[in-house]
Order: sequence, then structure tokens, then C-alpha cells
Amino acid sequence: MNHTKCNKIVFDIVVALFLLGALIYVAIYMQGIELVFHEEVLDFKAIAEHMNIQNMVAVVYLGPRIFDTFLEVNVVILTVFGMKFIRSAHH
Amino acid sequence: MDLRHSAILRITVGMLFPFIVMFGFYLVSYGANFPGGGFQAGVVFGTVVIVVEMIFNSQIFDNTFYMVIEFIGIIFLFAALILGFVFTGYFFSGLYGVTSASPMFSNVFYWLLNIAIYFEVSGSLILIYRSLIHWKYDEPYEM
Repeated sequence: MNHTKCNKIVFDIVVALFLLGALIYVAIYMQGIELVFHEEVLDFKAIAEHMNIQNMVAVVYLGPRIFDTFLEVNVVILTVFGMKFIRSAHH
Repeated sequence: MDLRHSAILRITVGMLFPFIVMFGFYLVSYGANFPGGGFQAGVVFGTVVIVVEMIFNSQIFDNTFYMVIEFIGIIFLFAALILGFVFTGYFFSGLYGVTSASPMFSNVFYWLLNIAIYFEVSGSLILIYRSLIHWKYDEPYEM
């Protein structure tokens, strides 16, 4: 058995153990998770009614996370410019 | 066998292509009331174009087209940012109150924002893919 194949088997075993551990954690320790009512939900409900939006994810997206989305899109723009810069440097 | 020569892939992708493009437009249009949004729709459209280009080994449009799409998205996004500030003093808040009874345009600002992100993400994704696919990795990059 060569070295690369041995490394791959070890990596697969580590990933399998990690996933098994995560499964056990979710199955045992997160069983009795307590549901808590957050008062912020009422604010989001008011925003949803004001904006005529039914999707609560969209409300969160338009509310406090609008700049998060804006910056995410900017990351994509920067990636394109970065790729162009590197390619132009090659040529 | 090269996947490019698979008749199953070519026929399936060719038949599904218009439906996937339409599904992407549905995601961007009804994001306010149903699961979806501009980013997801852009990824759906970009991915299907990439798959078609990989299988058919041809470019659907040239790079300029996708650069224009991306540029339109950026203009829309920054327009929303600045117009909101000009009219209300807060970024991205200019058209929050513009609503309609239609589920597609239930919030006009959200729809415009989704369209901007859709254009930007789909154009960018395809341009990034094309840059990577023609990459000559045997040439190390040096500043």
C-alpha cells in the first residue's frame, strides 16, 4: 500500500469519526433543547407587515443584515477583479 | 468515456436548461414571499450555464455579455444604497414602503435588490468559472 492511499484511508477514518461524534452529540446532548420566545420576533413581525413581506428570512435580510448581504456581493465582485488582475499579470 | 460525449447528459441538460433558467427567475421574483432570493437565483443560473458550457464545449455568450450583466447589477446595488441615503438619510431604505398586492412585487425595493444581486452573482460566477477553466496552472504566479 503506497503512502498516498494510506493517508486517504486515515483521512476517511478521521472524517467518519468526526461525523459519528457530531451525530452522537446531536442525538444525546441536544435532545432536551429548550425553546425560548425572543421578543425581537415581534419587531420582525411589524417590519414584515410594513413591507408586505411574508418570508421572515427576507425580513431579517432587509433589516439588520442588509449590509451583510451587500458586503457578500462585494466579495464576489472583488473575486472577479482579483481573477482579472492575476490573469492580466500572467499575460 | 468523456462525459462530454454522453448522449444522456447532452439531451437531459439541453431539455432542462430553459426550465432551470425559469426556476432561477422564479426564485428571484418571489423571494419576498417564498423561499429564494437573488444570490440563490444567481447561483442557479450561473451553474446551469457552466454545466451547459462544460457539456457542449461552447460559450453561450461571450465574456463581455456577462461583464455587462455584472456591471448592471453593481449599478443597481449602489443606486439602491445611495438613493436610500439621499431620500431618507439611511442607506438602502429609500423604497421600503413601496408595496403592491401582487405576490411578485409585494415589496418593490426587495425585488429590485434581488434583481441586482441576481445579475451580479450570475455574471460573476460565470466569469470566475471561465477564468479558472482556462487557467494554465503550470505557470507560477509572481508579483
